[in-house]
Amino acid sequence: MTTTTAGAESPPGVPVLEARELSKRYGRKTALDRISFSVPPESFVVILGPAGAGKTTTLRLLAGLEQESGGEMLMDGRSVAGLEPKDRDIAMIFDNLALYPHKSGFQNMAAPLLERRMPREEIRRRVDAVAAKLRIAHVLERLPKTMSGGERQRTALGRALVRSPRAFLLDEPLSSLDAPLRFELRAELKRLQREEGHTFLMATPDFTEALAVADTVLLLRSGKIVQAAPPEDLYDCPADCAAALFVGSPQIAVLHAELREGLIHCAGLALPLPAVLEEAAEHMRGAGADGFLLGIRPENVRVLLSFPSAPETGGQTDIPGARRHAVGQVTDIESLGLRSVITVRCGREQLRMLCSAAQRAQIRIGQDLAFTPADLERLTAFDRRTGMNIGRRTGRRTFSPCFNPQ
Amino acid sequence: MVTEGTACAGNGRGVSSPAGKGAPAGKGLPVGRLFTVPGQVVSFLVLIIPLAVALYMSFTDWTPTRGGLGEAHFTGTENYSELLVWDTRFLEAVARTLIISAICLALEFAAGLGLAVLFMRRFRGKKILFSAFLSPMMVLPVVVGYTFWMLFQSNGPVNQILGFIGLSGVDWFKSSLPAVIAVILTEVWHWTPLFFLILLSGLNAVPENPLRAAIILGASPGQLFLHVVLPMLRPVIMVAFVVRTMEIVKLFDEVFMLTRGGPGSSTETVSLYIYKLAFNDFQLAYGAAAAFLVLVGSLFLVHLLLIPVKDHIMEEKR
Amino acid sequence: MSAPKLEAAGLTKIYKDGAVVAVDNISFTVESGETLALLGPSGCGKSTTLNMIVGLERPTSGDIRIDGRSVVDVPAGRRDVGLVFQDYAVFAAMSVRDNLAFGLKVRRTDKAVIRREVDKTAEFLSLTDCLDVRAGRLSGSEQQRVAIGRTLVTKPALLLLDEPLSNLEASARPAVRQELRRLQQELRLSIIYVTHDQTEALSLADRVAIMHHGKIIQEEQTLQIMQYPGHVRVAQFLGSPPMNILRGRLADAGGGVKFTHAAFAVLFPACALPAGIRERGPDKQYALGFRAEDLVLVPPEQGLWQGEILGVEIRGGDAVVNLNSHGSPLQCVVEHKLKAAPCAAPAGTRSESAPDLRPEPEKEGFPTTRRTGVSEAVPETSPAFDVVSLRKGAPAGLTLAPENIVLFDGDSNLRLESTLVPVPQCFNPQPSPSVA
Repeated sequence: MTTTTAGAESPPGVPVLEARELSKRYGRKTALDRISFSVPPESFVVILGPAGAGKTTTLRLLAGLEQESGGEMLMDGRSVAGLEPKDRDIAMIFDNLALYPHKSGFQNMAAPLLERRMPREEIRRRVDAVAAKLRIAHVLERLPKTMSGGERQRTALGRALVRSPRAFLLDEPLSSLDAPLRFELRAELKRLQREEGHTFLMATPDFTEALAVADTVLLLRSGKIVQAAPPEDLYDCPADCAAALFVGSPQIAVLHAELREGLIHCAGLALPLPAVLEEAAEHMRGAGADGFLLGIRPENVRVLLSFPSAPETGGQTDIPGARRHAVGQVTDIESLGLRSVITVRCGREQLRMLCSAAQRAQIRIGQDLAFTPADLERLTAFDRRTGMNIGRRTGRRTFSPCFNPQ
Repeated sequence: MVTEGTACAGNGRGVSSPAGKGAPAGKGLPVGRLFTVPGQVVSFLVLIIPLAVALYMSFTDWTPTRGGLGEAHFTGTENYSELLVWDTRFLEAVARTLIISAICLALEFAAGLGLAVLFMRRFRGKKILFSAFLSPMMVLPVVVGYTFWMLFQSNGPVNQILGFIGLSGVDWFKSSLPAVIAVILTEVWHWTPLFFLILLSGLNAVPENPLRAAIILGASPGQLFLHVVLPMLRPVIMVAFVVRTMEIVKLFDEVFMLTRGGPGSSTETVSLYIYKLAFNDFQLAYGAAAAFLVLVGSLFLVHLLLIPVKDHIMEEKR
Repeated sequence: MSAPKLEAAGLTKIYKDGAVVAVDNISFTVESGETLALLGPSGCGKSTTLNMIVGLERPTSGDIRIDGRSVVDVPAGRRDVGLVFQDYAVFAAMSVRDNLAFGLKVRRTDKAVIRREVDKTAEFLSLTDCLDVRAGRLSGSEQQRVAIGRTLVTKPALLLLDEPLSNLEASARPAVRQELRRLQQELRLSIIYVTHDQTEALSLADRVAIMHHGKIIQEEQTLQIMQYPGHVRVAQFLGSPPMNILRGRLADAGGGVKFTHAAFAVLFPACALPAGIRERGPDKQYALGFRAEDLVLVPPEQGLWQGEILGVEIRGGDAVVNLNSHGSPLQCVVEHKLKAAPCAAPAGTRSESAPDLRPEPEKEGFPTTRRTGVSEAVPETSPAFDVVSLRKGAPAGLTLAPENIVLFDGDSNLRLESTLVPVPQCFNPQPSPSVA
């Protein structure tokens, strides 16, 4: 009903791509369930989701490779219904960017332009420009088999870039590469997109990739958009419990918590209610429940090697009854290099926390370890039944004066 | 069917029908199914109709000497009960066919597997030998039958070789056991290559790592083959057996050329018996009933063979 | 002192009459109950090394000793070594029970013993419920447990794991890593763990040997190798992000050490030039290595030196800032501060309207920052930054926590034994920013 508001809200930049209530069904199976999103010009939007969430389907629909079952797609504000894939001015880049093995780097990159019968000098100029940008000018005269893996991948990227279409759809373009090369190329992708003002829509199952490059992440699950947010919001205020568990490594700990007398009781802790969770408390009061799920990220838990005699209050007198630290049994230590992840069991609950190498050297599996949440404002609360994030609305309201332009 | 025209962007809401030019083919319209119509018509004409006619025929007493099929009497299941209860020649032919088939398949499998394992190694002249070993399959059964008929003559090359190594010659086609042996040898020569080919491709597809894992776990070459390779080959082996079973229960040409079922009826296979019923005695209806029994029987046999591997073969397809 | 579990001495494998040197004269040991990770990119000779240890390939030269006994001439099945393949290589057509029993069966072990051992192993690996299932039907991680169990049943002296996690989905890996650590601890196995993924190597190994082009370029305790890589290449390979490397010259300068880079100089005030370097001659090429975690981002006027922000990669709780400093690429880890006003539209209104995806207007300038106190609890990172405000092209000041600086010989790329003396007061925050 309110599909028109998107256009009204963004007068200067009509989105390059827009999906409205887009659906796709295969027989009885629903691959995409009325998803709506838009990709503004010169932005890098990432569709993040586990395998089978509908990422590739979305891209294929936009590219015109498949017929939508319902809804509408727009490019620059105009419907693309009935347009052949080649008329949509969209480039799609796949994971297995097959290069012609018998053609040189130049011929590979020039192929799409030759198909369009572009004059020779123009082709030369464009390919050289793109090659320079991708730093592969030196492989233009070489055959793919003599290139390194990264050069091959760049050549394949270059082949898509010479066309300068309106938008690029990238389907897990880096997933077949070794880790170091993947990091290098994703930075490259981001740089190109920024510098050239391209519009990218990329699908990936890897949240680190999504967080690293995206302006906006669309979290897709079972054909539905669970959350559309900038990467930092996706991490800090996940839409629901499953989103929180999907994004972030080491994984967030989700604990059973109860709100009693203004204190959050969980895993032996009794924490004062932080501002961000005030609305959560209200939500629970409204629902007549006092139990909820508390999400706490590993980097937000501190290891206390010596059990503190005086409670850490930050110099202020604490709320009576508050216990800001608790003790649990260490069940696992995983080294990440300079830091380690300690897994601690507290009754039925499991918490993970990060510690330094020096601290790790003093911790043994099986011992009791004290810990304390570092920043209460970074806690998240989820509804026990639905798993929805119930805490974040509070944060929005409290800080709305500086956030809301009205 | 002209629903052309650019779908107007204005009437945004609602499901736009996939009618426009951009709609991928095969969606909505049953065009794809239309293409199967000729094939279905042909299969109806050449398969279903003859089968139905023959089935009907098998319930009558029709013979071509007594006018058209329409004039024949409907006799119910008389032909079938006759065959299954009273016709010992038919029942013997069935048993004989099964025994010969079993012996042939066992020999072909053993020889084919042996050859296939040999061919997993590297040796000189492998390619030429490979073609040579496959060539029997390409010879017409009639030609094979005729050739072996000549080889097994009482003064033929087989007896000459036997004499050369100090054994007395055998009158291959004069008594029943040698005749059966001759039939089996011919059949084995002709069709071992099929087992060889299928098993070799199966062996080549066996993944390497489980074998290496077994070696590291301490398996001897024999154990490796018996416990690791053969189980992995099982689906392939069963496919080879199914293909060959379907073929060999119809064994006809070679027997016809070698012995005509003789001496007496000691090498008479089911196919040969049905042939004789139909074309020597003109008992077409009776022959049709026998043919249907064989069809049902061999279908049953093949399904029996497929039971243990059905899951596996279907699973791979998913 | 007993002999090490495994000792490889001068192991070499040459293919095709000397044309390809797959493994080039490597030596290493695995002590009893220890895990050694062979870490390196694909094609560096890791798998060939494994094949030689297990007996599937014969080394061109060199010796392999297990429990002090040379096994070069012992056939593969009798070396008392277990190997778990990357693709698990379970016997797909057999039941899980037959898979687990295989190693004992081929040794003609007593039936009752086999049964007991198989049941025990199955329980240990939580495979009891699927003992009668055909192994080919199991999921990837279950197949992997079968492959491990099949090997453990034979109680090998040494267990080799060949990229055991690379065929698993990313989301399943942390759990399997934890499972493998439990195996290590409860069974005290001696393990060689081959991988190209440093996360696995760091999280599972006691020691790491880094292979490159058939050679081991460094073998060291896991933590040591992270902090004091022995070679520039190791430094650039390990860690995410890897170590920053700056090349330049060193000199004594007024009670401190002056590092002269191509275009700028940095003074580390309270450091004395170590004797070793003074002997070598400071005026040679050096490579200065420091972790991205030790590089501290500060407002431009407060830095020891300056750089330009190229981009920010958010990782979750923190972010990696890519910088260009006088032509050298640098990476710095900053903590990701929670933004005051979080989140887009609440979920309830999601399906009704297209979310507005325009990037938010970026705030100008730097937020006030401070260096986190020497709190022992917090891992060393840069002070909290609002990541959104770290704009591309913005100038940034850089300071360095010098405790973990590593010095390399600029010519040979090898680490110099004498590091800058790790004195904490060496860090000299310039005009101390006033923050409550």
